[in-house]
Amino acid sequence: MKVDQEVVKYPVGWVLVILLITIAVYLWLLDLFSMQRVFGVLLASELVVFAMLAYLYSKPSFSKVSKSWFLAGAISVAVFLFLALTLATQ
Amino acid sequence: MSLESKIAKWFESRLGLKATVLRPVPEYSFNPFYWLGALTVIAFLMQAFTGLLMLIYYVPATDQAYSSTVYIIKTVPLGWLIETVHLYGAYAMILLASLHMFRGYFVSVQKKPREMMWVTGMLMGLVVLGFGLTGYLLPWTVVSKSATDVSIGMLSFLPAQIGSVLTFLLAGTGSNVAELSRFFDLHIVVLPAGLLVLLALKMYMFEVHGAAEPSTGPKPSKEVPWFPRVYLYFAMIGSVFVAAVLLASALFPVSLSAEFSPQAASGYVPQPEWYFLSLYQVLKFASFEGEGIYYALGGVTVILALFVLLPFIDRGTKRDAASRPFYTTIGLILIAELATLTVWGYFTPGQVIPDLQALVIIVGVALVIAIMTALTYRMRNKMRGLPIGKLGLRFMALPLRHRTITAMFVGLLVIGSVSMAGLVRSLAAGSIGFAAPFLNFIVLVSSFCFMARILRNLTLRQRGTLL
Repeated sequence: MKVDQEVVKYPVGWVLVILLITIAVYLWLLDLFSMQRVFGVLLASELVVFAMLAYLYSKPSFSKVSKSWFLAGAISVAVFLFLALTLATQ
Repeated sequence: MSLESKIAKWFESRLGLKATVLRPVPEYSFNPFYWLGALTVIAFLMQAFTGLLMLIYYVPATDQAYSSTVYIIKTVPLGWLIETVHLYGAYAMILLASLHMFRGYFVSVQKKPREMMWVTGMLMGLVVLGFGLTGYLLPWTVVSKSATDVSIGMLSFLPAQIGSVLTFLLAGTGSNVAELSRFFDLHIVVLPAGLLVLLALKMYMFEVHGAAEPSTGPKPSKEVPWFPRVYLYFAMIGSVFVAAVLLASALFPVSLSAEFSPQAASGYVPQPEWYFLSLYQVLKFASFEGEGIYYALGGVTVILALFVLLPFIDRGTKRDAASRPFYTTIGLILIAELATLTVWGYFTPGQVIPDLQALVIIVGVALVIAIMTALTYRMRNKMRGLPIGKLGLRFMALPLRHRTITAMFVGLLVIGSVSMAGLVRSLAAGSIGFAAPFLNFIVLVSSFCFMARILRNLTLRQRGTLL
């Protein structure tokens, strides 16, 4: 059965927005008030993940996804998480 | 029909969004350079959000402004992060607005029929700078108050009729209480209202004219639906932008300087924020001290007015940078001068700049940029009209292939820079000796000539590989 890309993408957009809000609230509820720098870096990494998802879903198929951009995003997230860990253990 | 569709249909039938703001957009606009204005709006929304949060605790009174800011930073949950994001968001907003303007300048978005969009955008840029000026005072630190007093002090040099009215509008009767109160009102009411009105006006004109087509290449006509492609693209670049601001805020937290008091200010050399450093550096030139400030402010106003009225001055029909050597050169000189003055101002706080030194640097920077631009255009003509951007990319690969020549070029660059620094230093020191400045000048000119020669020979020899 041929899946209509537009039909698939429409709910996915909303799912991504809900995901963004959910994770932001989740981060907010964590006791990070005393670790604001960690909170900032985690929120930044989460936004990069969201941007990567948006990029993936903006392409008609996975073959059109640029591996370089995707790799750059993945490395950024890894670096951000490492920074968060470093700041948290300071 | 699902409930979601019913709701969407109801709103669409009332608002007609799909026909206006959510209409299909041209394929060529999927390029971050087309979204600099939108990113500036995101920065503004971020500023509004963080500003409103800070407004809950901030007290705009001279005896409480500083302590309430310290309270936000040290006591309010996530207050420190919000304060830092607000500061870096302001920097990002000014930077993005400047990039948006210069990008528009080089691809001539101001040409018919978008003249009024350019004028509106320039006015929005001034409002954004106004945000920077007024917001800087609010923490009431010795740094912010001293720098603001310098700005207000400049107004006293204007003709009495204009200067007194502007001073009254900005600082009231001159007391600290009136000054803080006015700046606060301007920052949270007048300027946001003005920016929103101008933004609405510009968005309306954008809806009428759409995004400017690419200035070079074929004119594509393909359009893509707003949802999901544009939505996802906008979400992607917006998320990356906010992530960058958050990361910068987390890594480089804001720190407040001491609270303002006349005693603390007496030992402090005022220095404005980076976006006003270039203007401030010009005002430090010896000739512009005292009454001379008339000429400096007059000159800056004329340059600004010429820029605002650019669409009515540059009436040519060609839009690409390659066909507008005059305006492209002027734009590049302006950017180089702004960067030079900013860096120079950062390293010379409170120093009066001797006229000769100022002349050498200002004219020198303009000449270097003009010569390099002229060489590039000349080279381009020899390269059978290859677009400048593409030529630049291929040219950048040359150093990797010719390492010896590159090393010679870098060596000459270092020699030239050292001799230029020596020349500037001797001029700044008011040296009356002739030998050292003359020798430095000869070395500077020689190294520059050799560098130009290397560039020319290398480029001409590599014509085949460049094409």
